[in-house]
Amino acid sequence: MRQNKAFALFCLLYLEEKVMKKWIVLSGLILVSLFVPVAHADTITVSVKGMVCSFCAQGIKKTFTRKEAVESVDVDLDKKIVTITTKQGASLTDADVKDSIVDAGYEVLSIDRKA
Amino acid sequence: MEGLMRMCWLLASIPLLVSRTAVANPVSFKGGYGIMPAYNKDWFDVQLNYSVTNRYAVGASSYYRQGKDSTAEFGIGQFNYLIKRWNELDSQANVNASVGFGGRHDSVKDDAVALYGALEADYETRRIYSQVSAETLQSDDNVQFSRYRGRLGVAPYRAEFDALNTWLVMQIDIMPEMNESVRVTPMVRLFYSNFVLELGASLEGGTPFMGGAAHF
Repeated sequence: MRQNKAFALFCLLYLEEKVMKKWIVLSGLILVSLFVPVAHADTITVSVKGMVCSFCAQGIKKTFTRKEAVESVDVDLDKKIVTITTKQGASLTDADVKDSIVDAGYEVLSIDRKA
Repeated sequence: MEGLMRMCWLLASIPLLVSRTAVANPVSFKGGYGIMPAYNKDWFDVQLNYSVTNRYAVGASSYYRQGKDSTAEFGIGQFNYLIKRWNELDSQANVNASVGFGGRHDSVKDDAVALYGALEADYETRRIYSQVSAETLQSDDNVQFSRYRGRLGVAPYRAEFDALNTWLVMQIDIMPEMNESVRVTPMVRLFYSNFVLELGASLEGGTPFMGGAAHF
């Protein structure tokens, strides 16, 4: 009987130690994440004038995909928008976006961003 | 003078040697390459170009014309300029001009220096496409080939950016120096990604027409 109690106490202490270790590791990770800057991607939505021909609008896709910072480009002819997603930690200024649209032969109506 | 003409012809013939199956849109996007061939029974156009900006492009082209009296091949170095573009929310319109200088090889006459000039205007929405153009090839021994073209097209459906685009187009060519000086050609125009393919046949004689374009 005494042996059983000792065994139960040992198990309890062992489990508590395991849980404690987990909490220490988790807390450490949370603290580190608070002080290390996190790299994120931007999603830029551009409203474009003159985008009626899919063959011609390929120029928009080609102009943006040549840029190092760009992960993907989507063109929506119905909504007349171009959606650009940047790579993690990379960014494009509004001026970069506008210049690229103009280089492709179109005009920018508006630029919206989501981080 | 003859030596100079031969030199011009040699330089201008480079595109003929490089490719006989190309022609490009006059101006595409900055840093873009264009290639556009167009074939018919008695004429053949090819152009390769590079758009330095979205307003002008430089290129090389070759033109084959089987005229009433002789057959001529032109090799032309070309400059294309976008004079004006109207970007609207549901439409786009353009006026382009091209000038070129090169040489002509003729089946009957001696080789000659040649000039090229063209003016083009277009308007399109996602359902309607229209284009008018005039172009002339002239050589210094008074040989001339002109072409006046009108096009009207409709898209039976509004295709999305990544989908196959289909256009039904009626083309009218007036070429006074050719045997069949007026040619009406219904055709199907297909876009997919950065490629265009045009296939048709003239109403009069069933003369096949094949054209295409690609931007890189």
